[in-house]
Amino acid sequence: MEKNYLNEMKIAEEFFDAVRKNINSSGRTSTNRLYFAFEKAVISYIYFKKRDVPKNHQKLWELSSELLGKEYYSLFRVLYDLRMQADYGNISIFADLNIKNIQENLNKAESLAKELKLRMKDEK
Amino acid sequence: MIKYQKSMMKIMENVLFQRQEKSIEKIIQETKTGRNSAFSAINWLGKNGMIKVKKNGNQNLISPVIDNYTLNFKYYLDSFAFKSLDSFVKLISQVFISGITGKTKVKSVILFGSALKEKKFNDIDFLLLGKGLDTNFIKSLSDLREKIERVFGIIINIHQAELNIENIFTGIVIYQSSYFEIKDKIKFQYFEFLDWIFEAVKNQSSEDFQIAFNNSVLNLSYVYCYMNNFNPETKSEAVGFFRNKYKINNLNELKTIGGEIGKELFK
Repeated sequence: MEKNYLNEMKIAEEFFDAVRKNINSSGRTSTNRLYFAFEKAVISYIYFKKRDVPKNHQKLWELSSELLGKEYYSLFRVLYDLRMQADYGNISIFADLNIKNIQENLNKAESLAKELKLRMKDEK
Repeated sequence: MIKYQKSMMKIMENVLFQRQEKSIEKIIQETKTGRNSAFSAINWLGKNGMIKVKKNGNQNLISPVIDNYTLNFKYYLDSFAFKSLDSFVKLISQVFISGITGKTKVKSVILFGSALKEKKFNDIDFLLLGKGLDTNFIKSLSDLREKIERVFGIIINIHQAELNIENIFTGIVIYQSSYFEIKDKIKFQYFEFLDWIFEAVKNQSSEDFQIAFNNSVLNLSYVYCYMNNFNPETKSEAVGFFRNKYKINNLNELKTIGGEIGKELFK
């Protein structure tokens, strides 16, 4: 179990790197990776808490809200909307898909991922 | 009384949904209709402007006439297709539609995607058709979407496009702006339940949670009583009747029971 949560966080960090590298050349790629980076970070914490990871996206968001707070659900929802637009085009335009917005959400996601690492360190 | 009804229905469905020119032989083969009744039905449909019949050498080619009258045939078949769907999809669609009704920009709502085709699906796709369905309009639906997602645990994808024939055929038409909003006292109570349980979901760590939770139980109790032809005289009588059947200890259990009752109510 310990290995699982560390692996998940490592993948999350790799994905965050990919987001930063692609943000100016391909907004779509970075948006897609951003959702999964945040998802991996949250899954890492769920493993750490020895809880089952829901397979359904929405149930994962709900569990993140229950374990970590509303801001996790809200960010998941925005990132998913952005990812849907990046992957499929004119869909879920609840959030604007542009570099500024991707950057802002990357900052939020990295900040929450950092908070998760601190939580895991404190709760160990 | 229109003659050859069975063959005519099959032929109209085939021609309208595939919207391509094809020979009578092919239509007979695909629809498995009898030759005589198929020819008679095609003759009648052609004479009355429901299909186009074009001579091509020795054979006749058939294509649909697309106008508001033949489109009514699609809507008619769509209503059967919708009513035959999984009860959960019907519940979610009708809750979604209740939030769209009255929004004049939306002329039609189409249900499409995996929820139509597969038994297991992760999301439900709605296509809104109309004019001026811009980002601000879509953003105005975020509360409705969040309510459905968080109460029923399913992701809602909202797409938007112009109202045109091509888009009408993307899936099943589940709403048109001419639809009536039919809400009896049971459905009224169910929508109140949804409002309160959504408040409970959003305020799980707040002191307002218990009020929202209790109110949602109360509304759902009335739904259950009315569905079972029981008219309680007091609130506690309603809740007692409901709790005799369902033991609910937490929000997740209430969501599950609410979904089950909703499926029965909107089937």
